[in-house]
Parts: sequence; structure tokens; C-alpha cells
Amino acid sequence: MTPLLVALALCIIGTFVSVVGPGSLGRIGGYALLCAAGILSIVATIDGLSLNAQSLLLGSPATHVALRLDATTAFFIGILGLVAFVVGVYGLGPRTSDERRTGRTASASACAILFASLLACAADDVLLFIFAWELLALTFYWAIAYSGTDSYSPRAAYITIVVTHIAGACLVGALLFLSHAAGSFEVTRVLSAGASIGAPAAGIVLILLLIGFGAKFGMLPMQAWLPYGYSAAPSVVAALMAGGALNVGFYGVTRFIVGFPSAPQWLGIVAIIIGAISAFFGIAWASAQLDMRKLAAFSSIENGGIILAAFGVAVVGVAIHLPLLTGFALAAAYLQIAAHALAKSTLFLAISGVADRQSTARLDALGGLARTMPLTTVVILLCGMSLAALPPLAGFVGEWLVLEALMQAFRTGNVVCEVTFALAGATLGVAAGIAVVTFTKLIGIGALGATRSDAPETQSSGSPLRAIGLALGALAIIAIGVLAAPLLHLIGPSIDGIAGVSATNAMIGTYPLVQPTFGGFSSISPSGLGVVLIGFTIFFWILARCFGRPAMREAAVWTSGEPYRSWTQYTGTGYANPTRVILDAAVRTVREVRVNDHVKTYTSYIRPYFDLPFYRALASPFLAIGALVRATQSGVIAAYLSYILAFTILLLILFPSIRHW
Amino acid sequence: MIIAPASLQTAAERRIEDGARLVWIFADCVESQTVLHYVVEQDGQLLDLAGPLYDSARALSQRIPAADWYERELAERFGIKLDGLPKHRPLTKIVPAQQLLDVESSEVSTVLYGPVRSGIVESARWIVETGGEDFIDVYPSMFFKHRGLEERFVGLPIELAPFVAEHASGATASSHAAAFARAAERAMGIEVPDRARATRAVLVELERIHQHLDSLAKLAEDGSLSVGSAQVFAAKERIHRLLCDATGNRFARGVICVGGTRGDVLEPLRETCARDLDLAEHHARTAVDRLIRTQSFMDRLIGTGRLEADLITRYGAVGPVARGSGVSSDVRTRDGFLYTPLAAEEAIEYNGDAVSRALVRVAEIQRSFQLARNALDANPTGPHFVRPSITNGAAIARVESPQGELLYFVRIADGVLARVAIRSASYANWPLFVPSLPGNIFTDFSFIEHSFGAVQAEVDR
Amino acid sequence: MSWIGYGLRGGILTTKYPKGDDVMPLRYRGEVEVVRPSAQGGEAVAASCLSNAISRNDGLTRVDRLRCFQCGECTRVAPEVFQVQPHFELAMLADTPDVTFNELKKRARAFGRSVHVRHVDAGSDGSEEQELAAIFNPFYDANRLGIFLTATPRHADVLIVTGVVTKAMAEPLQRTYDAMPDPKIVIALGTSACSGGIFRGQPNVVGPVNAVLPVDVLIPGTPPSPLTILHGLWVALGHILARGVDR
Repeated sequence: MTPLLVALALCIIGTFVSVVGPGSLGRIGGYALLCAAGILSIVATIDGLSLNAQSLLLGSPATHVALRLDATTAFFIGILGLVAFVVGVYGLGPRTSDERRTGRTASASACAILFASLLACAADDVLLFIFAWELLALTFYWAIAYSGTDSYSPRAAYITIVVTHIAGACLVGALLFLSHAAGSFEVTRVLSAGASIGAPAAGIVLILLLIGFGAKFGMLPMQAWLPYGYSAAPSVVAALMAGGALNVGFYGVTRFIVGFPSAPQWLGIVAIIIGAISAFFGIAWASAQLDMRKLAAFSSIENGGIILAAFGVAVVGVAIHLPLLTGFALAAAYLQIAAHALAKSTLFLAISGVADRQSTARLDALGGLARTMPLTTVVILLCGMSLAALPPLAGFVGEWLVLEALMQAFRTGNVVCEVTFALAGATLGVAAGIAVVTFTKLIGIGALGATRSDAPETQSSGSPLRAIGLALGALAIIAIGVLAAPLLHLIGPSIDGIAGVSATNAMIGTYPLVQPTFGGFSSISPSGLGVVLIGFTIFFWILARCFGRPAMREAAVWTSGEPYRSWTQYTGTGYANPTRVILDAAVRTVREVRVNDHVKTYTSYIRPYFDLPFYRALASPFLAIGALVRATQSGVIAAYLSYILAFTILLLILFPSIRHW
Repeated sequence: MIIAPASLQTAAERRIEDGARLVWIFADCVESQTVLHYVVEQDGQLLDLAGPLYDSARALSQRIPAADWYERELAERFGIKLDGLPKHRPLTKIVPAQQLLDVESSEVSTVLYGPVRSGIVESARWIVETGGEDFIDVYPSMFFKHRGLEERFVGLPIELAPFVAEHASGATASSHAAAFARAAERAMGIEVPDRARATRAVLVELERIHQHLDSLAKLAEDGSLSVGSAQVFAAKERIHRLLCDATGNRFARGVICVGGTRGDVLEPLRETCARDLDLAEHHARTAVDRLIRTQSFMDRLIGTGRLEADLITRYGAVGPVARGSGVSSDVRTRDGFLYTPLAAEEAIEYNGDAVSRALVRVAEIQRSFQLARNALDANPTGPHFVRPSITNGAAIARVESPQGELLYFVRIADGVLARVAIRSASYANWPLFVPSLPGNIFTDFSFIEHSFGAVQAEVDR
Repeated sequence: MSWIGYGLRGGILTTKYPKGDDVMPLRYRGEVEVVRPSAQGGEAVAASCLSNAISRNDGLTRVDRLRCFQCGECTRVAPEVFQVQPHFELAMLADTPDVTFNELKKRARAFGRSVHVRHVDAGSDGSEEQELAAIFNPFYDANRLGIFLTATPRHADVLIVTGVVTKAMAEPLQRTYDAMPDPKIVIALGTSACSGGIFRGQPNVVGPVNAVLPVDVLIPGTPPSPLTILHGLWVALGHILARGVDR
């Protein structure tokens, strides 16, 4: 418990140092403390996974405000710590161009986000959890609105805070209802109360919890804020948000939904369906994006959907009393969480480097990075491959496990489950395919080829700390993929704790193979893949270098006999066009050619289904009510006095009847 | 020919408003005075309205789109000042591709296609701005192959000039030589004997057959119908062998001369055709019939490169391109026929897409075989050549080449050629290529190009 | 719709040339031969040649085979001196010292048994393209000789240029040549490409192909027939000797 407490303390100190410290020292101090907090969190994880659950009471026993470090919490804190460490190391480099002035606000908000996330994962108390959740929302708002230089951040911050608060409201309602039923705020008691409240109420509570947690990781229809929020925040902070804080939502799902006693089967089905749809739409929208940050944000929606589908399988496992299935699905979800966290945060860090150097993150103005920023190109390539689920990286193992979990449909013995699992599996497969197209576009258009814009590069020096940060992230992606079996062994207690059986032992077959918990179904060897793919690549590269190269002559690029110009290269829109046309039902593209004074302009944009029109329709009754209520706030003191009088009289009338309860 | 007063443009415009078709606008320099010619066709007759140009003339292309390319070439190549000519990208001057780009957007992919294109094709440059697969904007750059053909004629003796005309477009050499010869003969007031006229008719019809087969075979190749394209190319090869057997050149070059033909070619033609024409016709017709009955191939052509009849008339397009959209345009039914006793019917289709143009060509192949046979059977007696006495004069003549109406203007002064101007059918049809593209996708490009069947050499001259 | 059946029923049309013999029709104007080189009467004849192919040196009349476009005019003006022959094996090696039969053979060895040909039209009249395309039709089938067409110069071994080089096509032609990997062979196809033909010296024209690129094999003809082109390709690949230079 001590390392965790120190980590929390360091975060607070980090925030303080960043705000108060002079200029860039404050920023460096903040990121250094972020690193330290990250390391300590990882230490706390090792602690939490190996020992039994520990609690720490804050304050008097009567109020029972406590922190608890058990295996589940340990895993999520570990992920948070690792991401924070990588982000911190990167942040120690020079200030990025999208951070405001000295960059202090960015590092301060990063520390604050880490603090709120750690607290939420470690809270043993519903009130503390809600407090941490709200704090997280506030720190997000802080990061988006105040630390970046982007001109549309107020709007992005507004959308973020609105959606997060709707989510928070759902959470507060559900958790307080459960606490009332349990008669206590302690999380374990609150959860066990779930068994006693009867099916309809439990159903409503679970749906509210799903909506609440889902907003954090971009579950449809709560995903609107994600692209705006992640693009508006400075990319270093966005890395922590997308790779770190996002996982608090998953923690919530693990603890409160999968851990809900006798969770009903229909919830699992709903989760799977929503997960699959989120994944499909998320990546469909991502494939049409031209801005690297938006592309990464929509990809997070996709990953959120995949992980939610895995959680859905886990819930089904709980409902049909098949703990091996639950354990396996949880393992799949955990690995996918780990893969996504590392890949997404590293991707955001790399994007920040690119945006810094080229002054733009738009794919159509990039290109030619392979020569000017080789390390960043390789890192983007690895992150992209992982997010597109290509072996031997982490994303591949995670995705494989999720799909395998969905293939266990026949074990459910239930037609509804089988059909849902099958359709979801197919949808996730399609999503994976579109992900390959999307990330090929990102790497091919953004990093390869020749540069598309004539703007000169800013002379930002390549900092060794940034390089180390990126390299750490990339190594983590490879390590999680290749060493998946040892990793499962390590986080085993976390999974087994919820599933109730030692699922991970069943998963690690003849070490180091990984297989579904039901032996003999299928298996892969991630380390074997790592050796074969990486090893042979290196081997053949050495072979090619050693056996000489044929005589080569450099010649100009061939463009039909015309002199080569960089604008003859493929654009992102052109590359993604076939995908857009095929997915036209999901990615409704509007293409316009406008002619002004003989100058033609061509624009194309997507009309997302769930963006503003949907929300406007949903929000208009509330806004109407708000307008009505506003009418009561007339500012006339006589009105307020009369409200107080009326309420007092009402209380006096009702007080006796309340006493009777 | 009418020499009209200074209101030349008004006279031309009035006739066009009355329903005449603008055929050609070109310039001549007579004793250092520039003369503008406006050629219109009214009621099937060609009228040449010519007049001197003093310093500038009014441009017609704003209201008459058919005048567009002619006026732009006059302005750029001959430096003639035309008032009211809208600002255009250069037509005959080759400029760097960068200057032609029009669409401001980073999302648009710009594809440079040419001048060195894939396959065995003639050189022209296309710049396509696309959002992915559609055509947002297309800019053709032609005149990469401008060799200065019209200048090559100047000062040449009449008897050598048809060789130069054949170099204008080697694949349609007979049509060019025949058009030049007719123009020169008209200018000098010579009547060519019937035997020569029948020979010319046979050669031009056989040329129509092998060019139409070439166009259909290329369409089949675009559609990856390998056996179909091989068989149609084989049918074309038979025609070439027939011509080589009879005339000594696979394209019948060096046969047509001013005054008739070089040697009595009708007899060898009759001999060779009696032996080989039936077989060649049978193979050609079976291959082409199979082709148009292959639904998967025809599906690629349906709706591709659609041109409305209205567009055809406004731009003055000719040949199978015009006939495919229902617009009647066959010189042989008017005054351009080489051997009058042969009756000709026009082959017309109405849909305006690549299918219609292909069907027009198929019908014309059939009719050309018939027309060639009729001329060979007619076998008029008499000489095949009449020696021309060189007199000064000028005239316009037209012939129905495989691509459509081909015109030659010949002016003879001091016993040698003073000016030869060529208006090929491909030149008249090319302006319609870009308007036919919107609504199609990239892969349709070569289908539309081959359904137009244009020859770049006769456009660029 | 059985295209395959229809194709098979057509039988084999392919010539055996160049691995066997073939002939062109008797009337074919393949080559103009000087039967009596020392005969008099030069001026009128030379004037009748549009491409200035006829010259008289040391009392002997000669026809420059690279300039002659086989119109046959000289055979009409002076039939006792000039005669047309249906020869079709017209290809010649370029007159530069490093282009020899052995040199071409060495380069062709690098191509293996399949040769990829890239065509560029530098300013032709359209007929050379149709004849070049004809070598792939069933009567000649160049594919059986291992000759294939390629769309990109990067994969090309042989560059075939048709037509006299116009001013606008000089640079694209040069770029195509530069884009081809070594070893490569350049063939000028057609009289205009070999010598400029009737456009020699015209203002809009740069000249024959060897004014822009180093040409290895020249195939005259207006246009050269498919058999001539096959012969020329076979010479370029060092399989047979070209005819002696007769300029």
C-alpha cells in the first residue's frame, strides 16, 4: 500500500510544483514527478498482485473512507503507472508546440489526471470513487480547455464536460441506489447488495453503470466527446488521457458490472452488441479522418468497443455459471486493455513529435518522415501495427484472445448467445480489416513517400529523452505481445479473483503457449511468433547486407514522362476513398465542389450519425426544462425569499410524515 | 466560296443560327494578307465564308462552342487577335502541369497520365484531379506530337504532296490522301476518271473496316476479353494482308495521287479480293458479332461516356461519336462521296454511350464490305489517271474517314502548294471527351478513349 | 458463350518466323534497290525523293535505307535504275563503335528468356503503333518468342521509339530512357524515327531518335510490317546478324 500512497502524494506534489514552479522548471518537475509516480504505481502493482488485498482506512472507521489494493486494482494501477512513466519520460524533453506557453498547465493537468485515476481505481468507498470520478472529469476539462493552444478547445472542453457529467450522473444514481440498498458505502457491501434488489431494479442499475463507465472509453452513443477532447488537449496529455485515464472506465466495468453478483445474461448480450457496433463505427469513422489525432481518437472508440465485447462475454460467463469462460474473456479484455493503452499513448506521443516538427498533424500535409524522423516513423509503424492487430505485437494477441472468446459460443448452449457471439465476431473481424486500411493510410500517407507541403520544417531538436520515451513505449508493445504468456501468469491473480477459478493456469498451456481456457481448442505461441517474425526479419536483413547489393543507380521518380512533383502523390482521401464508398451507410460522406471566381474548392466531410443532431434531439427537452427553470431565477430578491418561505412551509407539513418512515 | 465583307463573323453566326453547322475556322496568308475562312455546312452543302483580317476579329466561341478549339489554335499558333475569346488554359502550347491545376484542396489526388502512357498508345498528357475514383476535373494537353505537317506542304510539287498527307495520319492514310487529292483536283478543276474514283472508294472503305476493327479490338482488350481482342485483331490483320497483296503497302500508302491512282490498282484489288475478301469478311463479322453478344463485355460499355445529342450539335462532333448519339453526320450521304453510284445509308444509334458508338462501328463494318464489293463489281473501264495541268486555285474537299468527316483545304499558287490546312475528325471530336467523363470512374477512361477512336497524329499534325 | 471453343476452332495462324521462314507478298514495297548504280540521270530522280534518300557519290547512285520511306516514286521516274523488292528483313545496327552484334548479345543475356518492351511515341503518324501492336496478334504472336509489353520503364529491357522526335517529346523521351535500368537496348522504329524521314530539318522537330538517345538498332519502314519488327527485335537481342550497312 505504501508505494501507492507515495505515488498519490507525488502526483499532488507534481501538480503543485508545476503550477507554482518557475517556467519550464515547473514543467520538468511535474513530468519528473509523474515518472516517479508511475514507477511507484508499478511497484504497487507487483505488491498488489502477489499479496492479498490490503486496505487502508482514511479517516475514522465510522465514515469508512478507504483505499483498497487488491488484484483487480493492481492490474489497472499497473497499466496507469506504465503509461504515466512513458509519458513522463517523453514529457521531460522540450516543450511541444501545442502546449500553452511554458507547458506547465499541461504537466500539472497530467499529474492531476494520474492522481484522479489512481484514486478511482483504489477507492474502496463509493463516495471516494464518485469523488475521484468527478475529479477526473474536472482534470480532463482543465487539460482540454486550459493547457492547449488550439482555438476550438473551449468547445471541445464543453462537450467533454457535458458528456462526462451525464455519465457521472448515471453513476451517482446507480451507486447511491445500491449503497442505500446495502446500507453502507463500502464497495464490497454495495456490490453484494446487488443480489438483493430484485431483477428490474438491478437491470436499471446495470444499464446506468454501463452508460456511465462507457462514456469514459467512448462507447456508442457516448462517444461524441472523444475525438474533440483528444485532439484539443496537448498530445502529451492526450497520451495519458487515451492510454491511462480511459482505463478507469474499464476498471469500473470490471469491478461493478462483471463483479456484480448474478449479472443477468441479457446485459452481457447488450454489452457485446454495443461493443461490436462501437468498434465498427469507430474504425469506419477513423478510416476517413485526415487529422492524425482524430484518427487515433476514433481508433480508441474502436478498441473500447472490442474490450467491451470481451467484457460482455465475461458477463455471459457469469450468468450461465461458466467461470472458465469468464476468466478467459477477462484475460482477453485485460490483454487488449494493456495493448491499447501502450499503443495509443505511444502513438499520441509520436504524433506530438510530428506535429511539432512539421507544424501540422494533417495527413495531407505530411509525408517523407521516414528520412527526417526515422525513429518516430518506426514507432508510428509499430503502434499502427499493434492497433491494427498484426503479429507479433500486443494488439494481435489481445484481438486474437477476444475473437477466441467470441468463438466459444457453442459452450453457452443458448441460441441468443450463439447468434450474438457469431455476429459480434464477424463485426469485429470486419473492424480489424478496416483498421489495417486505416493504419496503412496513417503510416503510408503520413510517414512514407515525400513531403507534401512546402512549408519549412521547424528546427525543433530531436531530444534524447523524447527518443527514450518513444522507444520505451515501442518496446512495451513488443514485449506485451511476445511475452504474453508470462504476463498472463503475472496478472493471473487479478483475473482469477473475479472469475473464481484459476483461469490463467488453464490458459497457459505448455509454456509459453497461450490458449483458451478450454484446452485443445486452439493455441498460439506469441513468443514463437516474436522469434520467427522479428528474428527472421533481422536475419534476412543481415543476409541481404552481407551478400552485397547489386549496382544501383538513383533515378527520378517516374511520372509518365513528366517531371516529378510531390503533389502527384496519393492523398489520404484518395487512399481511403474505396473504404468510404463501401462503408457509405456508416460513413456518410458529403463531397462538394464549389466554384468561386473560377477557383474550385473540393471538400469532403463525414456526417457522423451520433454527433450533434442526435444529441440536439436528446438535449432539447432538457434545454427546454432548463429554460423554464431559468425563468424562476429572476434575480429579484423577493422571489428568492418567497421560495425559501414556500419550502419551509412544505418541510413543516411533510416533516411529521417523514418521521413516520 | 464566298468572299464576304468585313462582317464575316456575323454572316457565319447568322447561318449557324439558321441551322447550319460550324465545320471549321482556319487562316491563310495570301500575299502577306491574313485571310480567315469560316466553313459551315448548310443543307448538306459546304460553304466557305472567307474574308481578310485587318487587325482583330470577333470570337464566336462564347456562343458557339464548336468554334472553341479552332479559335484558340488561331490565337495561339497564328497569333491572330480574337476579341472576346474567353481566357483558357493554353491549347497548343505545352505548359508545365503545375500551371493547369485548378482545384484548391489538399484532399484531391492529382494523377498525371502522360505524355508517356502505358501500352502502345500515342502521346498526349492528361491531368486528372480526383477525390478517389471519380473525375472532378480533367485537363488534356495535346499537341505534344506537333510536327509541323501543314508547313511541310508549302512549296512542294503537287505530285509529291499526297505522301505528306499520308504522314498526317498513317493509319488512315487513304482517307487523307483521298481528301487532299480531291481538294487539289477541285482547286485545279480536274475531273478524275471513274476507275480511279472506284479504286479510291474501295481503299477508303477497306480502311474504314480495319480502323473500326482496331477500335473494337482495343475495347475488347480494355475489357480483358483476350480471345475476343485477339480474334478481332486477327480479322484486322487479314484486311492489311489483303491490301498489301493488292497495293504493296499494308495501309495502301503511296497509291492515291492527284489525278487518280499510281498505276491501275483496281485490277490487283479485284483479283485479291475475289480470293480473300469473303474469308476476311466472314472472320470479321463472326468475331465482332460474338463480341457484341458477350454481355459481360457490353456491360462495361453501357452508360459509359454518355454524350447527349444536344452536346454533339453544339460542339459540331462528327463520325461514329456523333452517329452514336443520334446525330446524322456522314459525308458520304452528302457531297463527300468518292464514287457516286454507291448508295450509302448512315448507321445511327441513339443512346450516346460507348455501346452505341461500338454498334455504329459494327454496322459500318458490314456496310463497308458491301460498298467495297459494289465498287469492285462495278469495275468501271477507262484510265486510272489523268495528268493534271497545274493551275492556281484553292478548294476544300471532304472525305468520310473512319473517325468521321475529314477536310482538306488546298491552295496552289505559282504551280506549287502555297497553303494546305487539315481538319481531321479527331480534332472535331476531342473537345467532347472531357464533358463525357463526369459520372464515370477511372477504369472507364480507356473505354471512353477507345470508343472515341481518335488518332492523335491527325489532331497534333 | 464459348470464346475458348471459338478460338480453338480458328486453328493456328501463327507464323514460324523468325525461327522459320516467311515471305511478304510479291508486290510488297519493302525496300528500294539500286539495280544500276552507275546509270546517269540523277537530278530528276533526287528531286522526286521527299526525304532526300537518293545520293550520288563517286559516280554511284545510292539509296539511304534509313531515309527511304518506300513511296516508290523513284521507281516510276527511273525504273531502269531503281526497283522495289519485297524484302522485309530491314533492321540495321547503329553506326556507333560500341554497338556490335556481340555487345547486343551480351546485353540480351541479362534479360534471360523474356524481354520486356516499353514503347514511346515521340511524334509518329499513328501507323507504326498499330504495326507494333500487331506483333502481338495471333498471326505473329511475339509472346511465343518471349517478348512482352510492359507499362512501366522500370521493368523494361528494350525501349522502342516510334516517330520523329518533336520538341515537346524530347524531354519525356529522355526521362523514359533514364527511368529504365541498365542494361537496356534502344530501338528506333520506322523511317521517321531512324532518320527523321520527310520531317528532317523541320522547325518543330528535334530530329531522329539518335539526336536524343543512343540508339542501338534501327528498323526502317513506313510503317515497318510486323515481320520487319520481329526481325528487328531478333537482331536487337543478338540472335541474328543484321544486314550490312549500305549507306
